Amino acid sequence: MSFLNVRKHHLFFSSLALSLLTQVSPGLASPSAPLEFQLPRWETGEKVKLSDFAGEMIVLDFFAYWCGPCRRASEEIEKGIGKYYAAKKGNAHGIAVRVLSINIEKDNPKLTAQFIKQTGAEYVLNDLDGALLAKLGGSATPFLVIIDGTHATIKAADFRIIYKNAGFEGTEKLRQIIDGIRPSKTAAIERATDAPTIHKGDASFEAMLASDVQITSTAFSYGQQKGGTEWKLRYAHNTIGADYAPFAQFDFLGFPERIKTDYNSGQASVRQKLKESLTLSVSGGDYAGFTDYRSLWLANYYKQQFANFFPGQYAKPDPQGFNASTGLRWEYLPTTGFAEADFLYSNDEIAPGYERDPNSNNLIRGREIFHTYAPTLKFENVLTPRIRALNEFQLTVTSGREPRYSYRGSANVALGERWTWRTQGGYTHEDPTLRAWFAATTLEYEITPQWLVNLSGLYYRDTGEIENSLLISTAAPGLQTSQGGIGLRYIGRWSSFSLSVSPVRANYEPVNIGTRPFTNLYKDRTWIAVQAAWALEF
Amino acid sequence: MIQRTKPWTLMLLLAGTVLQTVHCAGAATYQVGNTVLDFTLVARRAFTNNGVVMPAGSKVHLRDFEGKIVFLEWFAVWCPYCVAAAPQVESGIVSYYTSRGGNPFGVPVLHIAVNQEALASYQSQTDSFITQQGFNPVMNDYDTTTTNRVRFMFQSSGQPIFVVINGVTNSPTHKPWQLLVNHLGYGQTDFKQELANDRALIDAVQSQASPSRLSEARSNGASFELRVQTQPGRSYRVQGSTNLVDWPTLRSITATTNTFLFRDTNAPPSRFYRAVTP
Repeated sequence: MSFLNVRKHHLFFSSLALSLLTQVSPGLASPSAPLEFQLPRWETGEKVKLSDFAGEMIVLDFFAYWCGPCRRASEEIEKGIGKYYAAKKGNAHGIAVRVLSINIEKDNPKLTAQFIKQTGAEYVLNDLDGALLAKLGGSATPFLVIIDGTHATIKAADFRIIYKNAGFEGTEKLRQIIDGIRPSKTAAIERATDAPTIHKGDASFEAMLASDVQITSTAFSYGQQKGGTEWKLRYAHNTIGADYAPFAQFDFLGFPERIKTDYNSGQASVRQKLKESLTLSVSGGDYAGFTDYRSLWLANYYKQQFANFFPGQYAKPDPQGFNASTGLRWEYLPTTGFAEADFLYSNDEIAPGYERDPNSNNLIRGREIFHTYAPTLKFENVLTPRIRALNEFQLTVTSGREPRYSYRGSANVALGERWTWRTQGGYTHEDPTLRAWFAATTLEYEITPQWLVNLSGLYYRDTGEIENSLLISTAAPGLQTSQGGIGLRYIGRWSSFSLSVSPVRANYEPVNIGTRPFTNLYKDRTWIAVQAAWALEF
Repeated sequence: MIQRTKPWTLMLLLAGTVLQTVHCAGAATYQVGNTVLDFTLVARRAFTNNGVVMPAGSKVHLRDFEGKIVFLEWFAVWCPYCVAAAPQVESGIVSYYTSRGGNPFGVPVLHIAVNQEALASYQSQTDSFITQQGFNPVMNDYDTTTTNRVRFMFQSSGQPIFVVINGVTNSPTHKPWQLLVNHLGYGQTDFKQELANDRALIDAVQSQASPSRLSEARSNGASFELRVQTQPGRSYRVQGSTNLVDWPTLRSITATTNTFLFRDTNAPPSRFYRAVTP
């Protein structure tokens, strides 16, 4: 499972901690002075503070390469505690568990490196003078300490030692202690209110390139998150260029022409936690311009057919639209079950179609304004620590059309230590004749915790759009799309980057006679899809 | 209940049909087989008909094309199906009959392109289209009023329209000005097949036959033989009579060559013979 996903889930999952009662851990007293330390990371030297892990459970595993029992202890802790809780997304009450392996030997770094490699220790710090070990009352390795960080906030570094032991008593014992800790409500709320403002920015670039159509989209977003409130602004600039070619056999008035357009859009969204298990989201957006090459193409067809011949009746198209949506997300099973209901309204003013009125010889303009209402229900479930599933049902009601029903489902499966499989499928139905299916799959391999590589495939098929009432129908014939791709992701501490390239083959069924003038629009194409995205948090 | 409703629905449907028919009665269109009354179109370009030059703008009557089979094609330059149909009509009808010198009976087949678009803004593109397609002659289905008239006699709306009328007034097979084809649109059916059907109908129109000569009459044993002069493609009946009043048909044939040898194996002592078409 990718680190990005884990982090994302934390946004949602940390909330669950708040709904549970605080239970002060029994037994061990907290030290009189606030517990804090700062140690460098083994490989990078980057300074790490205990307070970086506020809200989590921290397991300190002191070791030295020459210490025989340490090897077994570290190995088992890495597997039985670190990976075990990572897969479960926290302890029995959803609190994240962090294993910090602490090396106390400064000599022979090569052998230490070997030790780390063999035990699989993921997060290693140096305490080369043994100062921290001594401070915690340890004198020999292995030395294990469990710290409860659930009471810690930014203001009060209230870390409590709940276990320390020279020697390894087995993972079962450690798990009992770890699972006994419940979240601290007050601290969590304090953490939320005192939480630093997190700034999030990202930039992305996408391109779809075919020999006669080129589409690019460049987007920037910026947002802030503080406690239970999150907002985001997004701006996208898109370009579409196409070599318009009339189907001369059916079109005497048309002529080849290079067409291009810009399309700008903005979207603003706010999420607010109402209660521990309830989050409200509101979003609104606006765009101006052609949003796809098909509508640009069709608009050019109508322009060439009518603009010069009906200067008084043909109007230059000015497509634009806006949308508003609101949603409620409910965590009905702590950390494992989410239900979300969304409602979207969009208003689209499209480039209308035209045709001749056979009676009056005047130009008739097709529908220009479309209202769309789309309620959606989503269910997200963690079925096992390794499998997450998402099910989504959507109803789309658009002016002048039959209702459209869509279902899509996806599952993320952690196949092994380094392999993740994501798969998706969907079905859409609109009376009388539209049916669409798709299936997509991605297999991702973690080369290092930072670098991941993935292979993906997608297959889409539909039965063709429902013919519209115009004499010359613009409805697309049945379409089959196959896409395969390779992608690379980098996930750093504050930033992440992804790049993917995928060839796409789109095959249309033959256009029927009513759509024959659009033969060159609905022709088979090979596309190259390129996506690059960069995200930053600070 | 449901069973009772059904006949009601049917009756309503029937009533609807009747109403519609009544409604349309004012604009009734010709049906295949009808005799087409004379109408006028306006020459868009000058053309020559039977050696007479018809200047652009002159009124042209259907009756001006007597002796010919007239293939009319209504088009508009903005109509995709008209654009698609025109080259197929050129190869399937115009060139086909030009290269054969008319139908099998020598009846000339005249293709007339009829422009229905009157708007001024379309005229230069219409001229380009006519030149590109090589239409000749070309008519306009409007005059100063800019309203189409003739095409609505055949189809109440839409284009392209393909109409074939027999102008052979003394044909032994067809009525004068009989409507042979009245077809709307392109592509709903196989248009090549459509044109093949049209050709079959055109090819069946016979001109008046030249009188058949009977010759080489002789007895051959028990039978009597005579040779009938024929024209390939035409149908002939050889008839016999003993009283010059009753002429029962002795043999029907469709000629494949210029002569036909008729043998009467059951000949009475004396009988008159004649050959008639068809």
